Amino acid sequence: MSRLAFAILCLLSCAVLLPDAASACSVCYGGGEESRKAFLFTTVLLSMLPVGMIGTLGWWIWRSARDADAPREGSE
Amino acid sequence: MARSTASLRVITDPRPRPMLPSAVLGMLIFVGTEVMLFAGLVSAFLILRATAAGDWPPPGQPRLPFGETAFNTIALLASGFMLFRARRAFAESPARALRPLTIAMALGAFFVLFQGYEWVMMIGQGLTLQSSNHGSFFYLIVGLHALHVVAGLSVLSWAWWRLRGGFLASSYFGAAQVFWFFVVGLWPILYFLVYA
Repeated sequence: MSRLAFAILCLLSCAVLLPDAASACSVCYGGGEESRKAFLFTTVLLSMLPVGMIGTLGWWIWRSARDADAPREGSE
Repeated sequence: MARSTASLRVITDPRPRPMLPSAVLGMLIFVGTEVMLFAGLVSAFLILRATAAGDWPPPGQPRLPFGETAFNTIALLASGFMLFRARRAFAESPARALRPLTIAMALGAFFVLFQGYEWVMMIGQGLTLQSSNHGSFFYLIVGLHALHVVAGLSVLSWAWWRLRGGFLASSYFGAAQVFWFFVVGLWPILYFLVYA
């Protein structure tokens, strides 16, 4: 094993085994459990909200189009 | 001759109605951006509260009037219900929507006035924008929502004026409803997050 590969392996091992010590986020000023939960919750909220809104609108338009087409297809 | 008659038939066929009126779609997109604005503020508030050392609200800061605001919350929810009734009445006969729309606006105005009174009381008890993070976020989030209520009242007033004149388009009324339902639906979330 080369020196570079060994060094990378050591770094990865540290990152995996010592995740708390490796946290270097500039805004993670509180290391408590409540803080971690709040960051996790707000990350999920802000990530999923736009996807959820666009998805809901798309689904609603698709359903409306399907309902609007249904009687027309039946009448033909 | 037969060909021209056939083409005439095609032209006179009723065009399919748009799935969503442009005014409503535009308002939905605008409301989507507003949802993200409030989600950002609420996220910042939740993180600040979670990382605050000690109790929340901070020592020396007054507790928010949870009980009194519950009454105000009911008034705003009732306003949303009255607008829903106005929407149903509008579908039957536009003139019949005037009364529930007026009540919805009156309840919304009551909400804003009551909140103004509440703010005067809170400032008197020492909760200001500069007094703590608690005060800063309270006035920022609740104040921004109050601004939206005022904007919503302006939109409803405009709809009311057009409805009274008999020239309110259903698409414009739909857009006004989307904004007001957003304002009404957002408040209980803010109420339980900020006041509890």
